[in-house]
Amino acid sequence: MNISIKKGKNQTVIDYLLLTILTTFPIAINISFFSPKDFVHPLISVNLSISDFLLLIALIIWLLKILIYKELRQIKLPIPPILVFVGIATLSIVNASSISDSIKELIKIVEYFIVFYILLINNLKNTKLNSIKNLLFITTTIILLIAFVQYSILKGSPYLIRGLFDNRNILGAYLCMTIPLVFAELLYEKNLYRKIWFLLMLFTSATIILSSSALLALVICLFIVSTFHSKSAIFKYAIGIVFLTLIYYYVLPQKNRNSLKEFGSIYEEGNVSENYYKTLTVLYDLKKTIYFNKMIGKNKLVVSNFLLTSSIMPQIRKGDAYADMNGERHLKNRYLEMRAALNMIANNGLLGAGLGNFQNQINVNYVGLPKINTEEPDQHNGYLLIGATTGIMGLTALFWTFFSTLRNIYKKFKNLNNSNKKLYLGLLGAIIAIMIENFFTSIFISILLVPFITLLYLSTKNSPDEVVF
Amino acid sequence: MHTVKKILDLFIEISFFLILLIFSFSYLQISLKQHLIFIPLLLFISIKLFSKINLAKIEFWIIFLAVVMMFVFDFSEKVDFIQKFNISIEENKRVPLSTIVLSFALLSFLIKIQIDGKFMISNHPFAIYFIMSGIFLSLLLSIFFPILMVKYQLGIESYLHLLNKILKYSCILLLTTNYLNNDDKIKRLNIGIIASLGFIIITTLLRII
Repeated sequence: MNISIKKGKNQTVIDYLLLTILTTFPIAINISFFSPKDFVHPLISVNLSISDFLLLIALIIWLLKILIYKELRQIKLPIPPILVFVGIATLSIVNASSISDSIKELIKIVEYFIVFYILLINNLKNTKLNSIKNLLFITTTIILLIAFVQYSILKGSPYLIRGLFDNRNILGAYLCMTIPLVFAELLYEKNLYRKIWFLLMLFTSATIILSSSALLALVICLFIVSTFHSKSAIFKYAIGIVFLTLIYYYVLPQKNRNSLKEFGSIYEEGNVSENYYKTLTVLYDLKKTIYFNKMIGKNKLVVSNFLLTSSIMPQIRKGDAYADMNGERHLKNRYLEMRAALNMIANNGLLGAGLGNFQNQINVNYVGLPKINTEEPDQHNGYLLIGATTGIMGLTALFWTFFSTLRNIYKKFKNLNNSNKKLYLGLLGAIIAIMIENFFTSIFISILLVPFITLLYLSTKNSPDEVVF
Repeated sequence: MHTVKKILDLFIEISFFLILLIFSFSYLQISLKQHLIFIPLLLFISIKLFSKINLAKIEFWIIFLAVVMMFVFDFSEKVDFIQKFNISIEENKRVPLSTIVLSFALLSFLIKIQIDGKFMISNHPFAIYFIMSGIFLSLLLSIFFPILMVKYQLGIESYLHLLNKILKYSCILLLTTNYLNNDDKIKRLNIGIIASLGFIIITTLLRII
């Protein structure tokens, strides 16, 4: 009797820890070490999320519980596509030039795709799906409130309107995961107060979202959700879109309209900044690659660009020598990164350039001016990032994960009665929105993997796809 | 007609073994890290070879062998016979030997389809999504292609290279899934893979010693 109480208590602790992860995942601590000569570029920069610590504690308690109560045979494994994806990601390390970068990335993938997912499917048995969903709504409300305050107060860069995340694009990607659930809930909701809550969430997110790709993803996926619901839902959606268009052009400030204009930036040409040439000159003149490598940090400088620079422009010595290139128009970095990713897939084929080795390998695949501005984030297109680092095989596993999840959700949506349909309708919209958003913002960052894996868990709960050994 | 089909099947089988033979010569291109995959792969295929299960009934195993053949083909394309045997062919006229062998296998397969009037496409999720990712990449290439060519006059060689690879992988997937329809054929291919992998591992070991 005593044992069963203790077991129950252990289970409760694990469940509460997992639910806490769902609410605290955006809170991260950044630990950086700077060189005294350079306070801008850290030598080492590590983002530690609170959810990492909680996940570790939950894992230890769960493993102890499994060992003490001999439940090894009852462990459920993740769905096959996730196992294949992690397997291929591990195999891709053989092509990696930087094993440490690969292992760092692999730890992240295993932590979320395997550990977090296994903890979710093997625990939370007494927690209702609705409770998890409501918890996500509460977290989203808090994030939206913070973002709204930032939107109202901060007048500077639109990147600062980011809720609890690093930038507006990550906030947009997060909203793509939760807003379809809110919309589906609203379509079925009868309680007036909850309706008001959901409407306010939708209105706030439409206002504060300054990532145009996320807005596009939401507009498309909410239309699909309305189509699956009813004709009246399509009508309501159409009214909502007209209303949104009007407030975008007549009520909301210029920054909202600017974010829409920026959407075409991947194909846009731009002037090369003067700083670019100055940095290039300094780098060229120094010719001390190792010195710079240590001082600025490996991730902040692509060293072999020197070779590229010296081979392409051997005559150039001083900043003035670049004068004839000033004002010249060039393709923007994002487009060139996409092209470099395609080159990387072409060169490495099946297993890619190695997990986490995108920035390491980009210099040899980059066409155009030498890439020195590594402040520019990683590849934005999640599909190309996975394709470039884990090859066509990794991309296959990613498609398999997305589409098998969509198929599972659709099956459940078709077979369930009205009261349970809303969750699956919302999940259907969320996965579609993520698939669209992944073209513009990679979802494979720690902070977004918690809600993403939670969505996968919600869609596969009690699914026949789960493997039991 | 039955004899013709048998001959065509034989052509495809010989092509597979020729690709495996060319693959054996790629020992110089394979890094020690890549051997970390080859050794477990060799053990895994050897275990399956001696098991009494009818492998033709396991769709996963056929897809697995198709993926292994893609890897084999990838490495076999890197073998440079022109340098090895000092043959004088202009650089822009060089075609990998394994590509020529694959094109013969594909030709035999196409004739077989004409005779049979049908061919099989595997409905295993991995095969389906592999084709899908190939189509996805081809679509991306076709979107960027006009922009690169017309607006920026940038080179497109690597794009064509990727398209070429996607096509070859898809052909190998189609050929392997259609060819491996009975247990004997699977076992013969397993023996071929084990032999070439074993040769590469032994050669590398000898080189190290």
